[in-house]
Amino acid sequence: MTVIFQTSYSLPGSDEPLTHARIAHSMNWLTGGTVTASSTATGYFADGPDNSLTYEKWKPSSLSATWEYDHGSTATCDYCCIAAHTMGTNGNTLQVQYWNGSSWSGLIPATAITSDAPIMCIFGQQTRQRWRIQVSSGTAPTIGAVKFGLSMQMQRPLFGGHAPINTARQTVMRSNYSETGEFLGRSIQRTYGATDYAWQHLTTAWVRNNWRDFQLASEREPFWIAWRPGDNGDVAYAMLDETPIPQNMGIRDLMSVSMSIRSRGYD
Amino acid sequence: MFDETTPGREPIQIVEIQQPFCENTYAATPCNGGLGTVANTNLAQDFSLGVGTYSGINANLTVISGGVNLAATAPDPQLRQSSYGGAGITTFSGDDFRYVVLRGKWNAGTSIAFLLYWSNAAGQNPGTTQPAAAMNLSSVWRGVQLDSLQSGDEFMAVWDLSDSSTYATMWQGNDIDALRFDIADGSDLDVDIYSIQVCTANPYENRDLTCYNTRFTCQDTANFALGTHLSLYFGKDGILPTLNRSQAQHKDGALLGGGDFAYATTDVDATMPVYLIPSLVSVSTSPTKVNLAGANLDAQGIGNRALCSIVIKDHPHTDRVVDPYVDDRSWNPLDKSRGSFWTRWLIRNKYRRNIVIKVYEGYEGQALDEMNVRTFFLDSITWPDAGGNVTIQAKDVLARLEERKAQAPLASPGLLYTAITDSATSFEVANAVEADYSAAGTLRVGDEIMTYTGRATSTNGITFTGVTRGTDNSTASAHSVDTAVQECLRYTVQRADDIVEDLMTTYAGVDASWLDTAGWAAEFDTYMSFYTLTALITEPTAVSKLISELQQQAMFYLWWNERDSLVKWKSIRGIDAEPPTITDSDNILAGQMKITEKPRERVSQIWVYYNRQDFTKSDDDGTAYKSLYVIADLESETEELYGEKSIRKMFGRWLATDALAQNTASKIITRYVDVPFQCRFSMDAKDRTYWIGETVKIDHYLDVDQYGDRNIRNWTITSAEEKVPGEVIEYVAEDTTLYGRIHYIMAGGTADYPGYDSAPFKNCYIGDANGLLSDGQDAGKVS
Repeated sequence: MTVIFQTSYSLPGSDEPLTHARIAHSMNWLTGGTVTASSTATGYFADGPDNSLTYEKWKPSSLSATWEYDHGSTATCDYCCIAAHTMGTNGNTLQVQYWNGSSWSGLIPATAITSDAPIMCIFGQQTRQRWRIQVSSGTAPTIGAVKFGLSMQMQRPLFGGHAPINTARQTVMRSNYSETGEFLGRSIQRTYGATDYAWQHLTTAWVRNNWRDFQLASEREPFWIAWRPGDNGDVAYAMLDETPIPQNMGIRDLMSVSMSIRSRGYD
Repeated sequence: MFDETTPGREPIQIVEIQQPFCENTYAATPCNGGLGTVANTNLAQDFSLGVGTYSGINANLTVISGGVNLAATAPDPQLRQSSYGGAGITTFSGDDFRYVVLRGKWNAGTSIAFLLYWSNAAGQNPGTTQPAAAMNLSSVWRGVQLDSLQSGDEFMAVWDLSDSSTYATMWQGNDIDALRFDIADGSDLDVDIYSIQVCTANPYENRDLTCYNTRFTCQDTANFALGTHLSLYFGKDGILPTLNRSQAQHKDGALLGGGDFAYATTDVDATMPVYLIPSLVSVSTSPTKVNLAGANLDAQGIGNRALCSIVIKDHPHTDRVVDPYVDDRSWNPLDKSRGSFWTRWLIRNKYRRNIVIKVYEGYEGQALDEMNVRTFFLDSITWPDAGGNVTIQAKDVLARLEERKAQAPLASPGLLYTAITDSATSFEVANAVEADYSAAGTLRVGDEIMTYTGRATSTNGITFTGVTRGTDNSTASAHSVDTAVQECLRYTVQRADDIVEDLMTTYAGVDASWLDTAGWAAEFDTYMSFYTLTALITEPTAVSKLISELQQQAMFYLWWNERDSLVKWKSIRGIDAEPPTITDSDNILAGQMKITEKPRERVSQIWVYYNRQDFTKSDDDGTAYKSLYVIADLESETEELYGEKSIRKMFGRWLATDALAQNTASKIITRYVDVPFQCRFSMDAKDRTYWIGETVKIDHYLDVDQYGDRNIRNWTITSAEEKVPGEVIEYVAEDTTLYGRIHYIMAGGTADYPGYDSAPFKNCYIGDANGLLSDGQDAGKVS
């Protein structure tokens, strides 16, 4: 499960249901702040998770460790997303916290991470300046991307035909056989995940208010998407090769949009 | 254990570029980068104390003072800021000092202490030192010991303020309040005081101009020193092998200031790079192809070079790893206006030809040092193309032998200064220095060869002495002024492996570490020790040509083994160990076997010109040689067999004796009297250990005898390529059955032939009248 909810999370009345996708992108996550880490192992970078280059990672030199983002001023967030990590392999426990002015207060309780899949932590909106993750237990992991922000919530749930990203593996397989048909060897080439998302019956107002930011963001950087966070833990850390363009459906003022994504693999 | 036999193995390719990297740190001793030129200071002196003036003026230094006499009888001379009490003191600003120079003359007195004080706070008594302890330079001056000074001695003392991080920090970027020199009672000296101000382009004010530790960006090339290379690793997108790794390497264990990398010594995967840029698109290679005995007329004499083409995507980059000073710069490397990874790297590393590139090929789960690694040398890199990719072309080390790169001997620059007679035993040569010629050796002037025993610098160039005229079957004659004087290269009864090593290292610039000279010597000693060669090369000749001749005439072949990163050597000989057998059921991929004939390599007659007499004629002029040895298999030329001649001429520059010529000719005719065969086949990566130079037996349904039975013969692999890296290897092999077997004479009393399965492979048993052993196997044959 890579969607982690705040303990006793209660869906705010103004939010979309949890059957609707949550998207964290570069126009809704916090930027421009300063990053500090409790420790950083040699060869790694404390501010590595602050950019989208997932091959530049942070790794603490000892656990328990914290990675903090200070925005410099207060901002409202309802998610913490993590990608390109090895907390599952390393048997780590993750907490997400905010600074309440005098101490660190919990948003996400200590949660054992069981896979290296991208993570989206969802919590009730908080307006704070300082945010952090805390990693404990196991051995020191590497983490390539961490973001805090206020999610874009899709107005409609997904229609059918979507292949959940956790099963949408794109793996190339090749086998070799001898002249007499003996099996000689088999190679695989894991590449990434790939799937499509399609939404219909989006109101024009919603599209105009929300979609352009996502277009600009997705043209430049990867994003996180949890397509049905209330029901399953599918989270993709995704990139687009084409800008998703909404179309009028011809029904009232409703629009549809679809996109094909490629996600960073993790296993 | 992950390897080629692991089910569901996942091939991994990683490219390492070993970028040359300076071992020094910018603007830290010995690097003077960013210091700029000497500039004036406005440091005024307290002239009220000045009495004498030292006259030693250095034109390159700017005098701080007009001269100060530091006499014990005067108050301690001080150079102070005007804000500190005292009238008539001129303001000065002493920003950014790097050096303070004291130059003067010792007049009288015993050993004294010289202290240099300063104060940062205006109004502070210069006697308040900051920090005094660090500034106590009383015991030693740079280059001058106080104890050694005597009356009348002139001296210079230089304080290099970068030596101390403490006072370097305080000196630079801060206003100097005061300079003070204290002397002990009874001492008297005249000094000039200089300062060298750091120019505005210094690293402490404008860090954007800091170098990148590369030769092209170096600002103090006199102190540029290559240290351990910087390794840059590139892998393919998708799952990277570093996900579950935990340690890093980049500078082979060396630390570089400002966030650098080191090996972990305890982690199992200590050699897997953690900073692996996932921008590798593809790696393709055209493999080394060995030219056995130079028989392939369409190939280069030393075989075809291994080529590697690497495509890597360009991308924005943070400059981490490649810029040791990235944190000091004011601009954001990710900014689109600042270029990209490769556009910056190509400029910063202008001098990049021949840097080492390693291609690691292995499987997910393997550490880097468990993978196959192939070594190449950078030849060229394109700029990013329309698709945003750069293409790197790299070659093996033998590419340096290509004609335009290596010649032996080197062209000598000398010209006869005056005409000489046919009996002159010494003469002067212009346009040359001693280093252009060996201390003693052989020269060619016109068509005459001569030897000399000495050479020395003279008025118009150098003079050769002890000259013996008309050597090596040439005729002494007169020569006119400005005739070229070329030094010759002579080898006299020298081992073939030593000759090749000399040509490669001395003339082709190949580093000896790339040569498997120990393996060469072992092969030479065991199988070709009689090939000690003699030659005289009288004009610059391509090293590749010379080595190609050596291979053909001394019957061996060289190749670059990119897996071992060594030039390997093997003689043209029979096998002395049972080769492994590869089969169409267990090894060869379906539909991948192809057998062809090579009729152009058949030899019915071999003509060997040897024992060269005239070293000034062309190498392929038969009249330059005294002797000709011919072996002909006339039967093979009859209509019943091949119906035509196939004559190979060999101009044996290196063959001086009958025995060598006969041995070479005999081997060639024995092995190539019949049309040789070549096969091409592919195998799964589980068999990737087979590589160039190895002999195997092949058992395949396409290769049968006249009865339809499998014809299992010996093939020597001449080319191997990972066609699909980590999955499929393609091989080319030549039938070397006629190379035969090497047998050893057994000791007396050895038991009779025990049968094929029990007989040691190397033993030679006497056969019957038909040349067969008791079980029908071929007996040994002397050839």
